[in-house]
Amino acid sequence: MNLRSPSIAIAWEIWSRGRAGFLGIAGLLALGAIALPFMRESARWTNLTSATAYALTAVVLVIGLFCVHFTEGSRKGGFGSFPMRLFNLPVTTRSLVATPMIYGAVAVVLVYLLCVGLLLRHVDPNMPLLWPCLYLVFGLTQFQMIIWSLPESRYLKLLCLSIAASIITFGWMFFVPTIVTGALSEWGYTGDPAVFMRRLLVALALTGPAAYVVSWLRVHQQRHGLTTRSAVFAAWWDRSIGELLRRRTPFRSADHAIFWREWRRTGFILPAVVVVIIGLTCVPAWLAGGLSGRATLGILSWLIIAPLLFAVVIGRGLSKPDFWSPSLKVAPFHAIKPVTSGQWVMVKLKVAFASAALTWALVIYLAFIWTAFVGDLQGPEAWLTRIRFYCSPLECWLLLLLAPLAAVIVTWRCLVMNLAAGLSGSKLWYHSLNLLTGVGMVALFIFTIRRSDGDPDQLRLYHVWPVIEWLPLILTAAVIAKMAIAAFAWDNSLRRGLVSQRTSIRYFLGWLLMVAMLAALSYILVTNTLWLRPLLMLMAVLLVPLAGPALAMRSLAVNRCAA
Amino acid sequence: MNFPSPSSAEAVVSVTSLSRRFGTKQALDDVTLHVPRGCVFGLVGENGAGKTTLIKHLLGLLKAETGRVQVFGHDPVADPVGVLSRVGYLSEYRDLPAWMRVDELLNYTRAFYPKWDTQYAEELREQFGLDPAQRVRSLSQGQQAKTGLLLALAFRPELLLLDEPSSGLDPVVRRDILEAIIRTVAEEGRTVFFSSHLLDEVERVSDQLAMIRNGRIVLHGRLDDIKQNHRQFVVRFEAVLAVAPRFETALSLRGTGREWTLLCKGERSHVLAEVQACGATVLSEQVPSLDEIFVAQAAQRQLKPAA
Amino acid sequence: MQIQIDPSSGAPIYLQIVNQVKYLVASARLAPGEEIPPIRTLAEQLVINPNTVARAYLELERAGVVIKRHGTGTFVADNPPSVSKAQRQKILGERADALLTEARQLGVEFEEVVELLHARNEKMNPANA
Repeated sequence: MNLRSPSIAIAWEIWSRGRAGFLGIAGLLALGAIALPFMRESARWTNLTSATAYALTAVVLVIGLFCVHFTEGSRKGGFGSFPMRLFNLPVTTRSLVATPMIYGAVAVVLVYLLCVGLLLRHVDPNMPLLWPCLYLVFGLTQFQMIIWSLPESRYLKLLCLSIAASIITFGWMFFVPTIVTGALSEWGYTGDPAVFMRRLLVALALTGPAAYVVSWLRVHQQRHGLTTRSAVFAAWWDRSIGELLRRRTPFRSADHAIFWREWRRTGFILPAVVVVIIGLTCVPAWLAGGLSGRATLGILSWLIIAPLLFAVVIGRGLSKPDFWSPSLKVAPFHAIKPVTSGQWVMVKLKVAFASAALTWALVIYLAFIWTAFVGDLQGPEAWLTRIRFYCSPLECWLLLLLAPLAAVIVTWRCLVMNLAAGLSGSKLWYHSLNLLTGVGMVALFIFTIRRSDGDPDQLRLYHVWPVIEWLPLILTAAVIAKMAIAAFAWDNSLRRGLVSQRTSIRYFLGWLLMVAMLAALSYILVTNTLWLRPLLMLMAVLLVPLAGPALAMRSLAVNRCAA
Repeated sequence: MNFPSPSSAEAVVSVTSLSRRFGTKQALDDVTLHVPRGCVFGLVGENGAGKTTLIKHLLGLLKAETGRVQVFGHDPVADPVGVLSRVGYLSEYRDLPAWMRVDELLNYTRAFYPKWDTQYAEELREQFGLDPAQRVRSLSQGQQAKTGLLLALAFRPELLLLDEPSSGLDPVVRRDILEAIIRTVAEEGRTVFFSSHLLDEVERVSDQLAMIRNGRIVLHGRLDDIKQNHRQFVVRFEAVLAVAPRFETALSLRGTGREWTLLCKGERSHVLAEVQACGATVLSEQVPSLDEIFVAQAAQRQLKPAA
Repeated sequence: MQIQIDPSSGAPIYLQIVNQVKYLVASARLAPGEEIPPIRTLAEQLVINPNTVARAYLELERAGVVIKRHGTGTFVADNPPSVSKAQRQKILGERADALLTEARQLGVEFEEVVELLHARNEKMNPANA
């Protein structure tokens, strides 16, 4: 094959590396295009048309972005940088940076337009075109800019990505006319919302070229060795904070050693990211001053949602053998240590739990400080009065104790959700489960937003009544399935010597305790709709990981001997 | 004699009919070998011959598809803790965690091995000249190899498994590493199993040897026996020969005209008889080096198809 | 005790050690009763397998060149067997062959070689002329 020009060559490279993804996209689009008209016409499935259309769009967009991001892992800088192997090609840096960016942007826009044309027109014939395309390009270019510009400092990269992810997750709301008009009137903006939105669109369009310029400069520096790793800063860090963090005392046992290593590598990430993000959102809100009760409640809800959101994302990395390496295989250095797979999995669970606990401790502390000094307590006051009305003093105290614990348990669950898949070493299983999780999250997000028109404080139950009819049956079946799988997996792990009997008994007792606490919490919280209690208790059983750990042990054992 | 003779005691490593496929490539083909206690076992082979694959089987990093692997009498996959706590391993790729400092790394590894000797580790560290405050990522390749070797030696393992310990290292570091290995061997009952394609090292240090080619063991036995079994002859024929003459026992045949050099394997008298039967006279005879044997073995595959 | 070994020369390493030690003893560089390095030290010094050194020492002990005293070490025997006449003839014979071959190639007659030998001997030991 004769690739005439460098840009065609790069385009071919993007195509051939993402071949499977592109074919998958084509398949899904075809599937949607055929299935959706039928669904819309038929009486049974017509309610699910929009959900399916949105789900397919989400999946297709995610796959598309995954195929065109054009970053590669490097040994030094953690996860990802501009592919350095391209630096010796006789191509100017200008075009080297422009080509993948442009191709990526074009590909993503094309995919979106195809989605609108084939899938989403069944839902809403007047889907907006301009701002979603610009927004997707914005997302892609910002991601590429961050990864390409910070090749060596992985923590800075992680931080910037977290900030970008937060902005991208909520930024799209600024382009939906109904939400914008409401928010602007809320904040006392006197002016035409249309003008505001137009200006925002222009700003959005400009972010693309801006990202290109920054990336070009940084890649140029990397190519010609002009990046200074700020040796002075690194030396200072090593001498001061590095010395403080340096571990000198011997470890009491192998488990302690593994805990230290996992904590140093992954454990601190969730608390650090959440604190920084919350700081970045709360400080401007504080500076803006004079927030209404609704805004305070909004910020508090963000404070509660952020840990969960980031836990799901960081859980992706935590479930891999090494957070910072894209490889799912266990490195020989760790695989040859004389520890059982069960020990390792238990330590990972402990680290995740400690991580979640620390995060929530920090969040609660920050929430207290913030509301005490800044916020308007009108909204929270209403809630507190309601709770005090329904619950006895004892129950109030228990609520105070159990609610944070429940939050920690849920966050913990989000972190270790995909542990079995991540430790299995199988890319198929890992990536498909991640995709499912992602789609689920997006779906939940959209659902929450769309169903809260009118009263953003509460989820009206009658909107989801059809699902609730089936819920008891689904939940019971899920609980039975979970217990069966758990019994099988634990028995298998015990028999293969992956975990000691003592550990498994202690874990099971811990599990019972946590389920009991969650059940008690749901008992206290639910006072009106009594039929909800058993459902919540069943959900409590499902929430605390029991089968996951044992399956993870088995996966890890297989992964270790499949080098 | 101070040292246990390699022929005594039960086998530390026992591999029986091991085979392994990776896709279409047959990485190991019916490999059988036994390593007795106290032996220094050298595994030689070209790159990609299957050395690393075999070593990974011994560590339980690969599960035996067909055949059996036993280390200290146990299956390393079924009982990782029991086997791995007695084995010290130096990987070819020196995959040490780059972010740790040297003293943190020693501290960390120490927690896994109850038999870790801190004083001995300190001695080795000083001998190797490793700065405890330095991060692993800023160590040179030779220093990383030495660190890896330190981690493998400090807890005095019964079996030392080394995968290409000298690869990519300068002669000074190579010598340091060999010396450290010799010191391990000098202690009672320790077994060393190492793979290398540097044959002069293998010749100095091994008791027993196995040569692996395309996943098959082509030579196996004590180093002295192997060297005794091979002979290099310079022979002179009466007539000028255009094409290499056919010899049953010859592994390799080089030369032009009247004088040819052959490397033969087998009984000396048998070879001499064959040479004389062809009407040639033996000009000189010597014991070939391991390097020459290895190359001849590799070349033999090219001779055989013509047969 | 300085010993050089060449692993790729073809001769077994232990044999090289044995021969060199015998030579050192015969040429008086190792005095009777002098201690030779322990097995471990020599192995580390030469970077070879200690078993090989052990085997060499065993050979030397068997040949009567060294004596092993338990606990204290290995020492050169007080009456090391001298190199036998046949061995002496062999060593010198090889040297003589080399000399004669070279002389023939340079075109020097045999009588001249003998004269040369006489002259050199006189120079080395004037008293024994």
